[in-house]
Amino acid sequence: MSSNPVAITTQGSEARLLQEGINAIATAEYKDYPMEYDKIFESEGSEKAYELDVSISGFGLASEKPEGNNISYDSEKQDFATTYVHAVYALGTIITMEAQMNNLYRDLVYKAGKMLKRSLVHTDEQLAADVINNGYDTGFTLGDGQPLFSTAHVLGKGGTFANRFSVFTALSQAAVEDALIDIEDYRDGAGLLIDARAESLHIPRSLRFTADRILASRFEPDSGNNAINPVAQIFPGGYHVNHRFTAQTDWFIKTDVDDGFKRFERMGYTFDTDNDFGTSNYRHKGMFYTSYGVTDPRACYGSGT
Amino acid sequence: MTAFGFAPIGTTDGADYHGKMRDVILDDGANAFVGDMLILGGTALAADTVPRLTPAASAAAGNTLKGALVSIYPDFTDEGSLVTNYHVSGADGVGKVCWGEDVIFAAREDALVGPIDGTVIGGSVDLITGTGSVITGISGMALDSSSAALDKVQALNLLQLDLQQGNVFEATVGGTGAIFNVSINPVA
Repeated sequence: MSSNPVAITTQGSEARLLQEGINAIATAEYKDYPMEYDKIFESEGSEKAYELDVSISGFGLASEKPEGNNISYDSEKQDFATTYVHAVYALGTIITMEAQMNNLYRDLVYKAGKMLKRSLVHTDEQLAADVINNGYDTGFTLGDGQPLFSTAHVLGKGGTFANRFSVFTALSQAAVEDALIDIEDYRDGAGLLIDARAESLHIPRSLRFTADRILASRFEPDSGNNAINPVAQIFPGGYHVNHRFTAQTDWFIKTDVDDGFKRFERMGYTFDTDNDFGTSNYRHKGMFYTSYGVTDPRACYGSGT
Repeated sequence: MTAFGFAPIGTTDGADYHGKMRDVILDDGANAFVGDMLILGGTALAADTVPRLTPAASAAAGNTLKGALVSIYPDFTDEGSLVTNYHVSGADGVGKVCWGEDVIFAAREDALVGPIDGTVIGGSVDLITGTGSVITGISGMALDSSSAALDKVQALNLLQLDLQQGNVFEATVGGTGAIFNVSINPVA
């Protein structure tokens, strides 16, 4: 992480651009990766200070009723709540009138707007990636008090379940198979099986080529066997690299379970400008108002770390 | 740790921050880098119409900080100097300084001995000079983590952990160091 050491652009900030003779202005603009958070998170609008998801457990299995005996009863119950408290993220810049007027090469005001937008987009992406980056950290818990990836997620009516390997398991064909087998045993809060299906694989940049070998080969990868590769093309959503994942060996599978990865947009990217009367300094700010999180941990299965 | 000196980000009384600056003379006795905290220094001349400042070597007694250097005013009489990003010693220069105790600055800690944690937030902290970059022109000044204490005697008020995304208390001695918000302590 870095911080802008100069909040104000003056003539001295880009002094050489005050006179002609420059061939090129370098390193000011780059291409960016396409948006990555939307491969993981579903976006919803919000009109409140915070949003609350409440997890519910339904009914369990029915009981045998011997002749003349009463039936047994069950009820649904509230389990745990997941709170999404939105926060405003903002950045501004100040440009002196003289710096704007005398810069011969760049419209600083126009460029400032573009750069602010870029900073907001990168911040948005980082917020999303940090949900995964903190996924094994017990300091960042979901509604059931467990981190995103845990071997002890709580079932509302008793018991626990895992949405990760108990020990770190490197990405491989066998590991994907084992994860998919575990996902097929996901249960609801009352212990009933649910039809959870793997949707996509999410990896750091270091695993791109490993993922390609595992998912694109029709035959068993990395072996001389002609056996079929049962996980080839198994993810309808394919695999997605997230360049902000910090653990370069961790990976996870996203499932099609509802109310999993959520992004609330309280206010989209918003920009504003003004000019200070006394100094004639130009100011430009960009903001957005959002929150990220996960309600149902069945939305994923992690490699361990 | 990548220090960047002191960057003005707001005001202590909540007033809107417009980027106001004051001109100062940058004394010929020392290089000065953008982000450096400045103190009165050098030999003032009768013709000086604005304060003559120099980078703080440390916040020793009597060296009350005046403000942070935010820009070097270009010397238009010497076009070759326009590519120099810092004030070069040997000649006086003109600096733009964000001035006073009402300004909130962001600065990184050095985290060399014991990183700053929540037990000293609200107290005060000293600075260390580090080495500014003659390439980027950016200051090498940082907060001296080991000096942070729950008192009011050091050069800077330690206001809070900076809220920049991803900035958290540093857990590792010698690590990157966290960024904090500080203001000049007028009683130091």
